Amino acid sequence: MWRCLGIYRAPASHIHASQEVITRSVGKGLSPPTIRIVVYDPPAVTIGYFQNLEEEVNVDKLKELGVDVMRRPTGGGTVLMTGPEGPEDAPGWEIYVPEDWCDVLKDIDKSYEYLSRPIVEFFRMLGIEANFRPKNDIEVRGKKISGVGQYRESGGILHTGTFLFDFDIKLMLKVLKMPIEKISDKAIKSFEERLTTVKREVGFKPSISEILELFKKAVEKTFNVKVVDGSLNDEEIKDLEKTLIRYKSREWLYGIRPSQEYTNIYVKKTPGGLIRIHVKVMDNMLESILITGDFFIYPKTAIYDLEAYLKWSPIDELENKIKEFIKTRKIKILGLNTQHLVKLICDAVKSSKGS
Amino acid sequence: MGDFMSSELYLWKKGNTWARVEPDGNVRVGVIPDVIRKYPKVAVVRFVVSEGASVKQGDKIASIGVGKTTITVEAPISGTIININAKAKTTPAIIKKDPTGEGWLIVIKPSKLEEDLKNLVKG
Repeated sequence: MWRCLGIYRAPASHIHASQEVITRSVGKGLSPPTIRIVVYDPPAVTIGYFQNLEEEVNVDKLKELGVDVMRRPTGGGTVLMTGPEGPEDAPGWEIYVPEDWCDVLKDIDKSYEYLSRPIVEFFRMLGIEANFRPKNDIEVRGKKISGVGQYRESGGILHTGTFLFDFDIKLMLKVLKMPIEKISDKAIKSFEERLTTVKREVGFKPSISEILELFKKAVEKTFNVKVVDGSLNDEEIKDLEKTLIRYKSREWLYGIRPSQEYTNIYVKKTPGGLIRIHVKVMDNMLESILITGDFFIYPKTAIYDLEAYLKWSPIDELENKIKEFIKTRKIKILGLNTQHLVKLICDAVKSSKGS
Repeated sequence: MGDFMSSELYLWKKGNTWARVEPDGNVRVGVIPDVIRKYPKVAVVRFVVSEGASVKQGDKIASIGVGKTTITVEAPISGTIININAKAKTTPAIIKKDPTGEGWLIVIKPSKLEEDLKNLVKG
C-alpha cells in the first residue's frame, strides 16, 4: 500500500525540508512508499544543492517581484516554480520509494527511467504523447515538459520533478542568470523552442485537485499498487521541526562552500553558419549547454536532445559522449563534421574556465 | 581496541559508508565500493562537517553529486572528525576510482567504537 500526502501548499523551505524528512522515513521503513504534489506558496525559484545562489539568480529582482528562493536537497539546475497565473501552473510531483523496492533502482540511469514512468503515463492520460528522454527529462516531440532529479538518503529515494502546465519565459529570464547575451525576442524564442507546456499541447490546464487524482491513478496503473490518503507520522513531524531550522538558515541558502561556476558564450563562424554555444560549467561538470545559430541540422530536434544528453556530464567525458550521440542518432549538420562539432563544444567549455 | 583488524572494512549500509579501524585506534571512513560503482562518474562532493566536529552514528557527513542526483553519506561511527580528505574535495573522481584507498572521506576519533560496530556488518 502506498501513501498519498495530497497537495502540500507551503513555502519552499517547508517543501524541501520535508523532502529530506520523508526520504529518510521511507528509506528506514518507517513509512510506506509515498507520493505528493507540492505548490510553492509564495511562488519560488529553487536552486540545485550544488549550485552557487548568486551565480544563478538575481536575488534583488526576486525580492522586488515577491518570489521566494530556496536550495533543494536534489542536484540539478535552477527551476522557476510558478507561471503566469501563479504556482499552480508549475507544481512539483514527488515519488518516494526505498532503494530496495526493486532491483532496477540500484542502477541510477535505469532508476530515472523506471520511476519516471508514472509521469509519462500522467501526460498520456491527458492526451499528450510524452516520452522519457535520457538522462532525466520528459519530452514531447523533443521539447521538455518535465525535468527530473533525485535525492537519496538512509536507503530512501526521492524522485521528483515539475509538471509544466504553463510557463512564464519572460519572468524566468528576468530572475534567473541565464547564459545568454541579453534578453531578446531571439533568446525568448530559443527557450520556447526547447520547452512545452500542457496548455500548449492540449489547450487547457486541469485544476490542482484533478492533477492529484490523475497522478494517483498513473502511479497505481504503472506500478500496480494501491495508493491511499495519509499524512506525516509523529516521527516525521518531529524530524521536520529540526530539519526546517537548517533550511531556513542563511548558511543553507548561500552555501558553505560555493561551487566554482563559469558561464560563457562562445561564438564561432563555421562553414555551416554562425554557431553560438552557451555553456555553464560547475566544478568539473558541464551543468548546461545551449547551442543556437543559423546552421542546419537534421533531424531538427536532435540539437535539443544533444543538449539534454550532455547536461550534467563530467567535462572529461564530453568528447566521447558527443561522438557517441552523433553516431547513434545519425545526425547531420550542414557544413560541419563530427570532429568539428566536438572541438567547438570542448573549446566553448575550455574558454569558459579561462574566463 | 579488541580484535578489530585494521584491514577489515565494516559497512554502514544505510549510510553508504565503510569504516576501517587503523592501528592508532582512529577510524577511516569512505563510500562503500558497491554503492559508488553503480553511479557514473562522481562530479562533486560537499562535506557538511568540518574537522573538530562531533558526529553520531548515522549523522550526514557529505553529499555526493552525480548529475542531478544527490547521494547522502553518513558517519558509520560516533566520535570527533580529525581529518577530511582534501583530495576528495578537489578531485572527487578519486572517490569512485579508489573508494577504499585514496578516495577515503574522513577520519574519526571514535567515542564508543565497540558499541557502534555492533550496528555495522563486516565487508
